[in-house]
Amino acid sequence: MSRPALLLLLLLTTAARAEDWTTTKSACRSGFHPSQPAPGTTPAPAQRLHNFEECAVDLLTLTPVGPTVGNIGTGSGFGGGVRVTYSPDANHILNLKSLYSTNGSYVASGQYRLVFRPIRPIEIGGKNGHPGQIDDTHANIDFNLVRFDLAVQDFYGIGPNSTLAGHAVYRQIETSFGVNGYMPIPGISGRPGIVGVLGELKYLSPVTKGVSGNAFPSVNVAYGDAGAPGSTTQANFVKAGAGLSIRTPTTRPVIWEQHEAQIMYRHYFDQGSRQFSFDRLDAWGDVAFTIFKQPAGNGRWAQVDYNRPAWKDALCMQTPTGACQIGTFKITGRVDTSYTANVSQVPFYLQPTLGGADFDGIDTLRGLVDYRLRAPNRLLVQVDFDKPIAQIGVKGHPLGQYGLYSFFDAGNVSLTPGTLTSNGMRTDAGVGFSIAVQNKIVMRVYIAFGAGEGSHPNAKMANAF
Amino acid sequence: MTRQADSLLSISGDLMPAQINHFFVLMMENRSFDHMLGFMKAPGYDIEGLDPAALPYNEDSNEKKIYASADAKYTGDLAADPNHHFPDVTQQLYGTLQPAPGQQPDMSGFVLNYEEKSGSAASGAHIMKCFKPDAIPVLTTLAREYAICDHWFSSVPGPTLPNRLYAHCGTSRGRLDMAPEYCQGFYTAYEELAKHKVPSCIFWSDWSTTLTFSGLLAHQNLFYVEYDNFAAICAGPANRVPAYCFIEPRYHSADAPTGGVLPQNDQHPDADVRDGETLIRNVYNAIRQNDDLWHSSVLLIIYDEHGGIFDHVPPVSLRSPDGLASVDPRFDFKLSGIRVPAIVISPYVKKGTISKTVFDHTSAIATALKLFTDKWPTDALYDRVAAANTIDSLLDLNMAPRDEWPAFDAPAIAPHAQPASTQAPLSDLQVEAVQHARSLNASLPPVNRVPEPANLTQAAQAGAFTQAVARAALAAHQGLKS
Repeated sequence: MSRPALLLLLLLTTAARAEDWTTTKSACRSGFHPSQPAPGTTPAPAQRLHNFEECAVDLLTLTPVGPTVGNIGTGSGFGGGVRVTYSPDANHILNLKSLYSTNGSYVASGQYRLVFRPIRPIEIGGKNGHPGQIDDTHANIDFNLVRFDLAVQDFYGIGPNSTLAGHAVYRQIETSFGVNGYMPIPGISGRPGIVGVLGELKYLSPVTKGVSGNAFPSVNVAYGDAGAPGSTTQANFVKAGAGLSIRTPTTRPVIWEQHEAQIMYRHYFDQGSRQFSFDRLDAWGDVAFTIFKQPAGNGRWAQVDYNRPAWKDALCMQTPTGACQIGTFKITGRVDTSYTANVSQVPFYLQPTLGGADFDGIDTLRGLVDYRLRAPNRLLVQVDFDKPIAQIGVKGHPLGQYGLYSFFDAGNVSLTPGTLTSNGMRTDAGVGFSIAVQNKIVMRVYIAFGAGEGSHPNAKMANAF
Repeated sequence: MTRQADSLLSISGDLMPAQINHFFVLMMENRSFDHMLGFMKAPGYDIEGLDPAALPYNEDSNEKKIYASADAKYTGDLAADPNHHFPDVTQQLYGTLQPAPGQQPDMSGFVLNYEEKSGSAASGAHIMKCFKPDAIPVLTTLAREYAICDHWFSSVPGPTLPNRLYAHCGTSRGRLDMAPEYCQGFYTAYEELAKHKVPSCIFWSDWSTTLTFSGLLAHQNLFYVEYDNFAAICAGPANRVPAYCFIEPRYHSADAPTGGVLPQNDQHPDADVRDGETLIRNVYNAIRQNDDLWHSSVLLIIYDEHGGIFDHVPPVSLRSPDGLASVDPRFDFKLSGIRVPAIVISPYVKKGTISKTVFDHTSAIATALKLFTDKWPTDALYDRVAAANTIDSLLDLNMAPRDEWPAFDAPAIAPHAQPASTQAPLSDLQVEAVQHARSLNASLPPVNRVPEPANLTQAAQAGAFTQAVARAALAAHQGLKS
């Protein structure tokens, strides 16, 4: 591989840091003209690779202006662009970014973030009136400006009775700006959870268009406003929202349970005819329980077995505290309801979806394809069980530790909140392998079935970003 | 007499010596002794600190004398991360990048070095700023209440990685740099303890430099727990708390799952020092809450290295752990790094103890091996560990355990509006953590790799990435029999 090609590859695959031009030049020069490493230290190829990495990283993090690359959105390709990072002091950080992808999608965004401490410390009670832990969640205020153009999005019709045969596509363009924030409330936070207030005020200017040259028809042609409200005429919105969240404190009071929940009420105010004004109530929560088998102690500390056989760990995974972990149950619930006046409708591109992962990347009905069901109202219940069962590896290079992973999803969409019930819910189930550490799934490979549209093998990584 | 002391009465009524069953080490980031604790020096509290009547100084490029001053801010003074790689530390020690043979360090080059990094003489002077004791009440209160070690030196006059390697392994095998690829095969104190059936554990928040040690990853279920569980584990039965616990701070600010920000709390410049104070307080309180645990524990709070920040005490000679030397730059590992804060906390430490004993980071693992194994001294972790002074010398296991609760002054936890932004540009250490994580990620089988975002310019992104890689690596390596 040529040097420019190698450098380009590293540019596209390495992470980044903020650097000045002098350091960048130095690092890149070292990459092309490496010094002889000390005997017994990093061999030349590795050191040289490291220098190239430094060079690429420095280039990608040049401040205040530098290049950037990344994914724009599901199905919207991989793009490259320009980034601006400006931070006059730790209180004020401005980030601007623009990316253009291979399929013609692009995103341009700017964000200005302020982070503050809570009004007063959030005490997680101690024993006998003694001071305990302080949860260190800080408040934040974000000012955002985003413009994106996603070249192709999928649509299958609205309501619970849509079919795969109704597959259509559309192009989604949106400009938005606004502010959102979070403030923890010390007075009502404690061991049960950290309670915080969420707020949001945003201006949205969405546009949808047809897609030419696609195998599937465009939404505005195939469905029109009757079948896909807002597909021919779009409105501008002011979105105002407020909500509450609760989650397990940063320092968890117990190691076997963890929970989080959030409820948000938003009003979408159509700035034109008000035909598309609506309110939305989003609520979700999850709770995870880990099943431990407690250890026997030796008087000073719990017994641990450094040479414990793999089959024993398969039954019950040993932990540093001498206990062993049998598995983790996680139950998740999500409800989204929309409310409109008699003459109003919820635009199709602002309706929640079920099937695969939704617009926000959240797993929904995994036995269906992405965006398969769409309607103003959504109900979803999920149960997941992870059991670490196997530790396997080859000499010097780990193959991995997999757990048995199984899940059950049940969900429904409806045209009105009143018809959003558990009757007629679509369900699926799946099994597979997961890679998880301490209740958190890093990666999963699964097959889901039972939703009435065939089985769906899938592989997903956790949403790390 | 306390309940615990009562239970330790022998048949004859004499007090039985207490037994230390748990040793906790909390290692913070990049602050020198003078910077954090130097101004605690006072009549009747004779630490090797800063005497207001004879303050040390460095000269800047205009030959202006910049004196150590007690006006450090929690954040903002060191917006440009001070240099602390070996050549920079050389300049800080000797005032020049190329000291003459036999030249003794006079600690004269800190201002010049930071002037070059920060870009002006005015900001270069910030490297001499130190904290007033009451500005960081958690650390200074614990220092006064228990034992302060005013001759604890970082192990290497260099950056984070080799210094932390000494804290885990007793050597950096002749390396001074931060390249991630060289520290995979190290043998650690945790493995040595495990051979003696002694449980040990690394509590980690978003990253640990130990995550490339294949010997630990081969048994990650025995050695790693997320820090979120620390308080809950400490609140449980004391005999289920691992004997040796190493605690890693949060190296990057992160977005909380349901809103808000979890701040970087490692105190690495330019993170807000108060967030580290909160961490220290939480660690102390978690142990202190449980009487059974408290009565059998020692907590050591140390900093990995000085981070380029001024200290007035020259390094000391130490034993090379393994005879390995660095050729470029030349260094034989027979000189310590610069002094760092160190506090030893236990119910068996007398209030106001000042230790003048020379320690370095190998003293931590030497203490663990001495306390918990029946084979001490041992050269299993190389010569410097075998020869290290151990902190059990500061304990009086025949005294009744101290059960008073020190009062932390309010300022450390009072409301204030300083940010710990998730979107701040990465510090050098955070960059190294990302590179380290990337190296680890690349070593994983493709099926286990974490997809790497192309743009990692902000703390939250970096933290999310390192944490995701850590989890993937831990899972992938679990049970590997190498």
